[in-house]
Amino acid sequence: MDDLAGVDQKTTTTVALDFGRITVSPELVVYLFGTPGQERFWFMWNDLVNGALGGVVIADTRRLETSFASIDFFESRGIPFVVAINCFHGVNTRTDEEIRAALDLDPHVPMMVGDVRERTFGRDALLALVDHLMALPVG
Amino acid sequence: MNRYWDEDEEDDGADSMVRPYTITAGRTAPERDDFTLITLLTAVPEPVDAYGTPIRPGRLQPEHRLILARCRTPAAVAEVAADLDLPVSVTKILLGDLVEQGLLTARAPISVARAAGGADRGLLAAVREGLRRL
Repeated sequence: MDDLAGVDQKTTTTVALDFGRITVSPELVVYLFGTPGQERFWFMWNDLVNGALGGVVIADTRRLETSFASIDFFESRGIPFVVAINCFHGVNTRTDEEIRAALDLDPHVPMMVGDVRERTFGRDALLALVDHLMALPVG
Repeated sequence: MNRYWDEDEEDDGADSMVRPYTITAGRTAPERDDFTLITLLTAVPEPVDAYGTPIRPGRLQPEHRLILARCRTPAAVAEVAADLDLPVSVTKILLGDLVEQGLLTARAPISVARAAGGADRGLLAAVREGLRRL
């Protein structure tokens, strides 16, 4: 949960693939896979979405343009996704509308803003995704 | 442990002096291509063949045995690879061996293809409930 990676940290190496499991009930396990958005990792994305319920695109307010490819990827494959905007310590200098416009985000795609290092933000991003999946028309 | 072989190694299998292709007896690709990262694997407790005769495992590598031990409770391909510290590609080859011998069963993830009408509502509600409790 704490590792919905994807934010660049210049002092550390970027891990190519991260995964975790959340046991939500004795019969139910949620698998989470995380991979960076940089172009050199794109080859992994198709493998990762195989069987996936949906995706969370994590973008940073300072570098929104680097997430265009991720958003395109989910859109072009018809895979539901939500967008989680990271701003450290919850300090956000742009309005939600500005961010949506900058990302050219479809109005029905849920977007949330917060500090991705917060455990609750990770959980809420997943909840937003599940809500989004449940709200999609059947068929 | 002999670090000689590992000095220039970066990551995959760097902790082992056994090269990945040795573990797989030279094979570089799995014979079956239906394993995904979330294919669930379960060891067969008392494997028998079609005639009910107990299966005696063929020649197994130590890694095969580790996989069987790990899969006494269901585990995903990604988990097995991570636990064994082996590349996913190598792990898939070993898993294929075990499935072929009837020692391991593989179950594809529940189909959530959009074409099939998206994910099951009851399943999503259960996931939602579980996440809320975190």
